[in-house]
Amino acid sequence: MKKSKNDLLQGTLDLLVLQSLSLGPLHGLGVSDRIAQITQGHFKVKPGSLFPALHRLEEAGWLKSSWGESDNNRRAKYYRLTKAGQRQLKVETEGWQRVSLAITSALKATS
Amino acid sequence: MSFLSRIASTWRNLSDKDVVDQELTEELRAHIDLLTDQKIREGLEPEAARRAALLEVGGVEQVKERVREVRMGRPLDDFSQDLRYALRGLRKHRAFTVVAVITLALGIGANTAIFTVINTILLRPLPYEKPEQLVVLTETVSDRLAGVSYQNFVDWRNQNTVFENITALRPRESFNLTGAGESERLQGRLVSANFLSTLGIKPIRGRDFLAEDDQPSATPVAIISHALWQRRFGASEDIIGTQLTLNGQQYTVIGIMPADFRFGAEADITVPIGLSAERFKLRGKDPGISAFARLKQNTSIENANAELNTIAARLEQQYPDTNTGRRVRIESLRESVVGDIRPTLLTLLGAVGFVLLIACANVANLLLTRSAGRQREMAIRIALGAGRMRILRQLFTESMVLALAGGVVGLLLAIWGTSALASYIPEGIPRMTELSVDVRVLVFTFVAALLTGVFFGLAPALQSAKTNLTETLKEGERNSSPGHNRLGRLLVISEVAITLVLLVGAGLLVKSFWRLSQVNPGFDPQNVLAMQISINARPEEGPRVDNFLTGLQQRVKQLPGVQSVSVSNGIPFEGANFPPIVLEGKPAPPPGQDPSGLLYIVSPDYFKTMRIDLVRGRLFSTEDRKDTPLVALVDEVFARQYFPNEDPIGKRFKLNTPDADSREIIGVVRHVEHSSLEGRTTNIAEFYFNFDQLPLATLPRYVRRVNLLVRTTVEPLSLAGSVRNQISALDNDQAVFNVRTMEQALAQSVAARRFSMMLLAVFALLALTLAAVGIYGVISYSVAQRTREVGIRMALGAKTIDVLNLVVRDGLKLVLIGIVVGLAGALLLTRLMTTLLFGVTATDAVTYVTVSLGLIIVALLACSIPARRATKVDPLVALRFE
Repeated sequence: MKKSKNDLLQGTLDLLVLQSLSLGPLHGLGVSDRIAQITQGHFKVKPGSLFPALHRLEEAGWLKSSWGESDNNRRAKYYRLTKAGQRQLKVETEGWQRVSLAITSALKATS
Repeated sequence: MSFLSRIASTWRNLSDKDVVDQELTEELRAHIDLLTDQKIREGLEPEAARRAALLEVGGVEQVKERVREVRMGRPLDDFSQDLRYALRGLRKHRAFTVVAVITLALGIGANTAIFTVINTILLRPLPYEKPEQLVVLTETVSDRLAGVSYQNFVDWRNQNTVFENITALRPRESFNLTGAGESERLQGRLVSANFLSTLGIKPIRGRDFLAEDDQPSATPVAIISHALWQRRFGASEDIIGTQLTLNGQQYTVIGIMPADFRFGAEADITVPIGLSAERFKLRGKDPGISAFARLKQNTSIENANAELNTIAARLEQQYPDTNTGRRVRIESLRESVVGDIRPTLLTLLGAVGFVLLIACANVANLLLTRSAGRQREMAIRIALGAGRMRILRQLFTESMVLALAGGVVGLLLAIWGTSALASYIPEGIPRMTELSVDVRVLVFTFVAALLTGVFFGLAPALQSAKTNLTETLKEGERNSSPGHNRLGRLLVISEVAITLVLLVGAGLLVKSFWRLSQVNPGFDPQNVLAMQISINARPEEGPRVDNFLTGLQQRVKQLPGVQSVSVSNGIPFEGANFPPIVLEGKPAPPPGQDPSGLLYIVSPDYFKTMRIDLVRGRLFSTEDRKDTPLVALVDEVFARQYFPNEDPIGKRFKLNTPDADSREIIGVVRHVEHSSLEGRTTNIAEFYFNFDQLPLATLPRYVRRVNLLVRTTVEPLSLAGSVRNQISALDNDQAVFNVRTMEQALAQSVAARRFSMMLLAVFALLALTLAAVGIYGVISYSVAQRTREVGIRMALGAKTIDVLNLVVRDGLKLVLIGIVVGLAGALLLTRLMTTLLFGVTATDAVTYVTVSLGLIIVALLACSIPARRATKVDPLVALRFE
């Protein structure tokens, strides 16, 4: 896969979405809240990016969706990680760590 | 990403599009509700909470569109949308669609048909095992082609190291099948025992020849054709091992050829050549054979050529009398089968390619006219945010749909056309029985259609790319577009130019053919009935044969409508022997340069029947009998070649065989074209023996295949029946075949040429029609555009003739430019077809001028229809028009 800037950003979003679902199924809003939570508010994912990402990951077979009831009895679409999704999360996490390590050391070297 | 899940998603997105969309809508609604709940929990009033939630989500429709964009199958979805749109548009403009599809179908169909022929003849491998290894060997004497002498062939076979197999073939041997059932004359071939195995062919029943069968003393065996087996023997399985009487000799049937087996001339009977070794025992004086061979793996034709010519040089030393100057020429079997026809086929392919270009130009023009009316639509769509790529893609989809529809109809036309073509194809064009549409043809048609679509689709696409948004939208209802006119005019000019090239090509062929039909063959073919008789007679039955022939001529002469009758061995446009001769009283010629000539053995009335003029001396007469001195006639070429500056009359010559009789020349007759009107036999010497002077002992050999010629005062073929009756009344042990008029025989010799001429003429006319339609279209369009201008002119007092002038001059200008371009093109391209021309040069001024004038006249007619319409413009209506 070519690593254009968009891909990188998209990859980051995918990673965050997968990570946020690693503890259990969530609906769209839940995913976006969880991301905000685990990044200490650094990332706020808007629906315009969130839903395309969810649908794309589902079509890739990494997520599976089903309709369910929310805490306050509202019908909502829940996403959960599939086996393939868990594998993908591992792959992407490792990839990200490598990249971040490399960039961190690169920045250290030049500064 | 898993491939399966991609497919599943694509399928779901496309098939359950509405359900998928519905779900998305619900999901987003739920999201907003949840968000609202969250906001309420954070302490906002329900109203404010909902507003805040909506604000945070942004445009719901935009989110939905962004989700749709990332979904699988989006390009496919766009495509199916374009396709539906294109189909709807084409259905709506039915007249346009029909005209475009027919035009394309004609163009693509013509190309597919010709490609089918080319594919069969030139591209498909020959139907033998590893055909690329097969080569044909011919002998040349001082660079002129000659039949291969069997004894040389035997030496090649024994001495070469380059061939896996080398085999001899003597085609066109005739066999009289007698015994059970009606006697029948069959065509056959003599072959070496390894003939079939060299080709990699096995008999479908029985066995192949063995080396033992190929000996003079062997029990005669034969392999029969599948067709003969079916026809004569009812496909009986018991045929293997039965006896056939062929030419009075018993042959055992040992095998049946495969149904589709063909090699050279048709043959129902194949027998080992070794059985007739006696006929081939004299080196250089035998009837001649064809030789072909299979090269050893990794041996090139050049290597084989080098080695065979080394052998030939050795034989030259060894047998100077017969082999001086004899060389070997080797070419691939494919080249020898299809080499002659290649230029014709390529010319035709070029011609249909041009027809397709014209068809493209016409459809492009139609599309332009149509898209002129759609420019506003396009501009609005672009203004509303449709990408230009998206619009181009849609235009192309439409072009492709048209092109593929044209391709399908064209393919049907071609399939129908080739089968129609096949029944008109003259003999002598190789491999036509194999003609069929195969995968390669289908691919060709598909690619041709696609390219066609791209080509004519370019015009409207280019135009739409140039669309200036604001201008188009400002122009309001007026839909004039100078761009369209310019492109349209360019198309017309090219159409005219291409058509002119085609017309010139066809014109040159027509003129060649006409020239050919003006050639004087040296005899008068009109009102001559010809047929061949083969009489089955044992060597001692000479008197019986003599009686039969004398009686037959007397009887036929009595028939009403008959002027004169003659029999002959050898006639023009059918065949004759070409034996070497010895001129008496002349020094022996240098080795390898024996004089020779075409021998016709004819009864005295032959010259009267064929109307061959006597130049000097006298003709044969009834005074010349078996017991009077032997006489001969020679033609002018013979006299000039062998008796230059001498009077040939009174000189003597004989055939170059050990026991030949010497004959005295008593007269010189006009030269006769023996097999070609194109001058290929103009310089071949001819001489005549008197049939009546043949010794009775040799007579049965000559009547195995004798011609009966009848000059009639009525339509010759109407006498065929009564002549046949006379023959069977006299002697039933014979077979009559090849009944035709001499005119037909002559026509047969130019049939292939006539066929390609007709095809090219048809294509040129097709091109002319399409070009006329194209001119008509463009001029009509420009007249419609200029309605207002014409109205004003007429209001200001212009007369009908002025308007006519205006429009016609406009069209004529395009046509004249096209003609100039076309003339240049024709001068360049017709040079490639010089091999197809006869009696006319590729730059024949008369043809060029005639064709140009013809094209101008047709173009004027095409312009005159819209011009007349322009004169009917009512100034008032025209001025109110916009």
